[in-house]
Amino acid sequence: MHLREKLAKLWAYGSMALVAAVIIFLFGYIFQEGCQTLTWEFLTQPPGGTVLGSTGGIGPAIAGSLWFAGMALVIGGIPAIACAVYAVYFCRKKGVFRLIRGVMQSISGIPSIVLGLFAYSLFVRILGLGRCILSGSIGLGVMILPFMEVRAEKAFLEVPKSMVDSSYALGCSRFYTFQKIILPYCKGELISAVILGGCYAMGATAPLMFTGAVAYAKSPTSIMEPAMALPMHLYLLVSQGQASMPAAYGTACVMMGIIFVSNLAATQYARRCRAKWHQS
Amino acid sequence: MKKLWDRIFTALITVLTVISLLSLGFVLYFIIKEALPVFREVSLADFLFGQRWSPVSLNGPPAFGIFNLILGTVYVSFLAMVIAMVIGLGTAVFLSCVATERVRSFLLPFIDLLAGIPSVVYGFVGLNVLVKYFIRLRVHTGTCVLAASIVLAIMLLPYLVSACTETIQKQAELHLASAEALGLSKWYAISAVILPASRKNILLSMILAVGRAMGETMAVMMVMGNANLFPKLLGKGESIAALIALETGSAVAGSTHYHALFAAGMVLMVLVFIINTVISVIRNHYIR
Amino acid sequence: MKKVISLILCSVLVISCLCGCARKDTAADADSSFQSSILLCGSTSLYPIISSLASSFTETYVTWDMVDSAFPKKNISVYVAPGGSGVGAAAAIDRTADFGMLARAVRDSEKAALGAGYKEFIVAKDALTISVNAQNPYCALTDSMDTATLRKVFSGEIATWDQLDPSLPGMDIHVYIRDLSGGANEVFQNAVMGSEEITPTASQTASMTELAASIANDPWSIGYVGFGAYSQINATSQVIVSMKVDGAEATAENILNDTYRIQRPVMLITGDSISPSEQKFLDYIFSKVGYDAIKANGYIPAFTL
Repeated sequence: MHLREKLAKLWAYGSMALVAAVIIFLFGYIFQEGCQTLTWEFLTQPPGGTVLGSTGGIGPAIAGSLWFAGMALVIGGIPAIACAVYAVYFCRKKGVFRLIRGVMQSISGIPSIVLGLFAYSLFVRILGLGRCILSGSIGLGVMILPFMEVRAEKAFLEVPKSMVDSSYALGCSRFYTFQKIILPYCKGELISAVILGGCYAMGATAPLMFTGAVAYAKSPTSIMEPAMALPMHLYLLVSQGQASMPAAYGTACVMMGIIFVSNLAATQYARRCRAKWHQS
Repeated sequence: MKKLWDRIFTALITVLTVISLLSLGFVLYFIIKEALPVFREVSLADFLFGQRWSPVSLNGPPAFGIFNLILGTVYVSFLAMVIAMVIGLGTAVFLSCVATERVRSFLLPFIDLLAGIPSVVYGFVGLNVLVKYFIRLRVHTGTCVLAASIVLAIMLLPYLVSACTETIQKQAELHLASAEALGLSKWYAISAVILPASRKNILLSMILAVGRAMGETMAVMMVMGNANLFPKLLGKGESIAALIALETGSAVAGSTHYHALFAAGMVLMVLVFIINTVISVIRNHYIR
Repeated sequence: MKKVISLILCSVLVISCLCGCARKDTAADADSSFQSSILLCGSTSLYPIISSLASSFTETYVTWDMVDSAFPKKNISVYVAPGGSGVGAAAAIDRTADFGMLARAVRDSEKAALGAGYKEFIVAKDALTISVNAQNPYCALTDSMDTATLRKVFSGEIATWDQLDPSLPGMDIHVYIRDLSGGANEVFQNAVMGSEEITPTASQTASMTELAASIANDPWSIGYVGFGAYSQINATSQVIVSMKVDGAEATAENILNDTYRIQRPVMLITGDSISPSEQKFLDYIFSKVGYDAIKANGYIPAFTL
């Protein structure tokens, strides 16, 4: 074997091993440090103690994060999928397609902290919504929009063009084709795009910092209230120092757990959907 | 009835697309509008090439120069891209050419998990592990450009790996069997045929990652040291995103400082845009 | 057809959600005579105290009628949003929060913007201790520095430890500070630096705890650590050492009687009149529970019981 081939082989195996080691280390480190604090009380109780978070749990933060992610999906997800549908199936002019691409790329180029700054200036201050789930979710929604649009667009592009064309040729309407051919074909991919978008929104701190996340609140009951959020809570626990460190590891562990489970669910579901389609 | 549904569907999709494009356009407009007032007080050249940043100077005039921050951002993202490309591409080759379908479908979701980890967690682990290690290596304070690049590189990996694996796998399906039939060894075929053939799409996957790298806030902020200095590999630096995150809390709304932070955000956007354009130009004109 | 129905159901759900919120708003308007939620916003130094108090206040009383039988039976909501002193002042001025939390003196421009209804409640005092790593041999040589030396060190004029004392090794001095535009830096600039500028090689940190941890990790460092963060990080063992400044040590008495000069008030500000429910929460802060929480977070209560 020549040197070049050996090097290539070493490179591929080496990188794979390195990446695997990093993943195992990251998850192992967090889970090992965090599992001691994980109890049912920790998951359900509000934080307490003279140094906030040193006793009690993260119940309201979990609830708040779900609200934020849910609202972000409503605000960002629906337009994202609509844009993807439009770009793939409706758009006849190349210019319009380029425009959509361009806008999406520019938005994904905006750092999340700038989106936070935007939502803070416009919604919290100028429009007077105040700090609430809605203001924060708009920032998050704009953040996940291009992320989901790209994924949805990819899912739509994977639908064999021949199938769509034959459906049109048979005289089926666009809506019928979409409902009977396209949607079932990429249902799994779409749902996994939604779940991953939700995870992305759930993990973001920067857009929430000044718009809707607070250090202490009860579980939210409407979108006009501010709420706690897991990443923000983690950041605050870390910056408070030693007394709240165990809770910080616990929070990190919960976040990784949520992401682990929903990722797994998304990929499994996508795979099963695809398998079903390819059989029939 | 069918016709009606079809019309509603078409109208709905079109309206939603137009609305979202308009509102996204408005986001861009708003950021630029909030950024521009700063240039009434500071010239563009001073803003871009000034090395002094002291927004609330208690003596003398305030200064808004983000030259070091621009360099810091570019330096960290470039280094992180290089590290992530080397490792990510290797992993992608392994996944697409070595691993069996079952191993691949097991490993890829795991690598995707990295994308889901919140950046605060990355910063947290980086600060607790990597920075301590750098201190032991007698790097001044542990926090440095290299540490930030390594953390950032790990964050970029999933984006690069999943996109590159897909591309290389397609090329491998096309060429690997025929190459082996011609008597080429597998690894020669990979390095001489498959990788060059997938160059174009690899560059495309870089475009997504660049935006992510330059805009990353929390993780970079926690391990980079945040000093307004000319960035050196083992020295401290500060990124534009970190500047915004650090100072938005104390900027008085409507002040020059506030507008300067928006302007810094705008510079960051423009930077991402320029780099993306350069990559696509290279992609379209220099690679067939 | 199933899909169509589910689509319709989904949109109905979303719309009803929005309507629900809208209705809640009008309900709140109708009963606006009583304020059941309080939002405090601002300083990263003050929020841990206030949020732990908010937590215990809500846990103890649950509904407002438990606080005072004259109040209606409504759930207590106290929100605490961190962000920085500047955000706190801005939020109080544009009324997006009921109280702003500040960890520095109020600027005259801010006082003017808050108008005639301006009120401040000084909760605690904090000092900036000049701290070095406990392993640094400099600690063994002296326990005091004067303002002139400090000014030279923080401005970068003295850049290595052997310039401070010839017996020390020629290592660079690593200066740690808070972000340049923050409250703490303003206090330090006024009290120590005067017209000099802090060296650009200084590392900025996002919180006092991070600043303290950085000094604890780095033997050749110096920085201004908040009194709260200083006592917290030394809770188990002495990892950082504070210097006397011009002979005055940073102790609770010296800070309260202004002998130690590098200090700042930690307070709540508002431009609005205080509602009965807000008054109850203020009373709670200035009670024994509040006193203990302030001490537990390492600050010096600015009131006596």
